[in-house]
Amino acid sequence: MNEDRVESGLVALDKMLGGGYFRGDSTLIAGSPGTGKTTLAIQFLASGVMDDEPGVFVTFEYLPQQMYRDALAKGWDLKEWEKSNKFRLICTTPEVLIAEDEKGNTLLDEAIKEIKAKRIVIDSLAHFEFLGLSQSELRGTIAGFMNHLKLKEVTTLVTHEIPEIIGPVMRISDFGFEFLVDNVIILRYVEMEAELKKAFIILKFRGGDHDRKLHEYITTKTGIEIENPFQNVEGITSGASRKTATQRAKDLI
Amino acid sequence: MADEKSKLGLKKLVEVWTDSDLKIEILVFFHNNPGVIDTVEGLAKRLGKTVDVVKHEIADHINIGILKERKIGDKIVLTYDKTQEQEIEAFIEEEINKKLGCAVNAKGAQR
Repeated sequence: MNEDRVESGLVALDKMLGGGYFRGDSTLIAGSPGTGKTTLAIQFLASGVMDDEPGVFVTFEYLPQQMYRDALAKGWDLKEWEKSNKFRLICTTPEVLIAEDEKGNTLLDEAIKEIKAKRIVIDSLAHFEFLGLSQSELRGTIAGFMNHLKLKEVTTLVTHEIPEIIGPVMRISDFGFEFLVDNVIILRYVEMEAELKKAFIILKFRGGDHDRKLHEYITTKTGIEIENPFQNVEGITSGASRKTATQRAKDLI
Repeated sequence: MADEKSKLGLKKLVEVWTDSDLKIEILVFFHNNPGVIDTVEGLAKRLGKTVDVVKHEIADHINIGILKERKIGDKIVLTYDKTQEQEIEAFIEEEINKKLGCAVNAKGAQR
């Protein structure tokens, strides 16, 4: 097993993961709309650009011009990264992405080879659901795709949208995407004292110990910042937290 | 490709390239979104146009070489060739310079 770690782009997350992602592993970032999945993914690639680990961002959703603009607002000049061959932005469809030419190469294989990419982001897995495949076919397709990237030793982040904004029910996907990846990170809204906050949760981290606490995080002008764990509250994963019994007693006293 | 442009000449090249609003729209779209790799059907959806119209309008772009068609799996996809864009810019600059007899860059500024 590969013990080499890859920085996530967030010092706090690296600490929570015991040093970063394992090289070649895949991580699912699941969250409701607006929780910062894409930002977290670009932060991962930005860290790669700094570490001389080129990256490819595959988007099924945003047009490149939108990505260039939004990333630039956070200080990431994707066009410059592209010019210096540290980055490629591919905007396509899942059908085209997984199609192979006569030599068995996909578009992603070509981009990886072209810039010697070490990091990949796929935004988002939800679009694979529109391929019209059965549940088992879809799982097989994605599992094969992930294995292929693992064999190339590229560290992969895939995003996936959770439709529920808040509430006790939270299903990651109908297709069990969470079982096809090594790690799962959940970004979710929580209601706390009539305020909507955001919780950063590492649900699964294969092959290593990790911080199991639920951390608050904020999205700033320069990206995501993970803060201290929530304290004296419970029920955060239900979306509607409440103070712990001890805290309520303390408040009464 | 360089031969293709020379054969056409500047006037014809610009005419072929820009004789409809949609042709210009497609060029601007790919200039702003060079990473788009899609089928004609996908491109039509992105542009909010019908497939037949888009198919007709991209023919000259493919002929000039700024858009390339390639087969991947059972699909024909379109890719944008940014180097062709730079080549065409250089060609336009050269043609203008020849005509004016002075150095003008493709974006219009006189040097």
